[in-house]
Amino acid sequence: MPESSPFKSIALLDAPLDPARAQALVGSLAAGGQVVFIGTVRRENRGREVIRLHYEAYEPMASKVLAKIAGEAQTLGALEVAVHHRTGDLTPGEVAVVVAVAAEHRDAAFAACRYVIDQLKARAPIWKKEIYSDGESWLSHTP
Amino acid sequence: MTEVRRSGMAGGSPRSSSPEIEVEVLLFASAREAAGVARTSVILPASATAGDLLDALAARFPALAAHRGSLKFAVNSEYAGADHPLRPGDQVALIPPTCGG
Repeated sequence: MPESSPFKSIALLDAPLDPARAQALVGSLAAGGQVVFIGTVRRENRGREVIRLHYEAYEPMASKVLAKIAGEAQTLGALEVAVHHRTGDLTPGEVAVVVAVAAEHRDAAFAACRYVIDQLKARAPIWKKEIYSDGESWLSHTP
Repeated sequence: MTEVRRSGMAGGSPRSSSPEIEVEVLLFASAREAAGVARTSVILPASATAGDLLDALAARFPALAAHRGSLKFAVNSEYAGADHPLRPGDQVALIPPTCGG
């Protein structure tokens, strides 16, 4: 009996993200639950008003690392994984990242989604710069 | 804009022809801003490591030196340590602390 290969969708886009699209991509009939994490730009960080965020990625390494992380999530029980991340400039309220996971049951779905976003922050060669009215700053993830 | 520079070798022109390698360097985020270039090439002794490459870059771009402690390396899109031996044509990326998501 042929095994179906686990489905992953990895994308870095310099255009608005649609979370519904990522969710639709992980619609496996074998899954009893989907978890979708949507990361958005906050209007304030550490007491400073954020005018915009600038995301930069090292392609193709970023896609390679995200695919590896998605594969690890599948080992943890995710059936299908989609990771869509922005590059370029975003204003407060815009979607910066979507992680969508489908699994048979909710425990694995929640755990896998959390795993992917945590690992993305730690390992993916993606950087974020905050632009304020009086300066700018490259941020660093906190483990 | 790509520039090619030879890393400093003490003693003027070498008497023996020690083999050299050329590697491509990509700089991102705060490293790019410190150095002022997004990509460059460096010629190094054949036995050079990623750490040796960073020494050469810090000598050429002094503002990069302040970032040394926090930079990671990727060689041909795979994370690598400072002791990773470089080969001709390698693409080495300087990876400042990441912050996706």
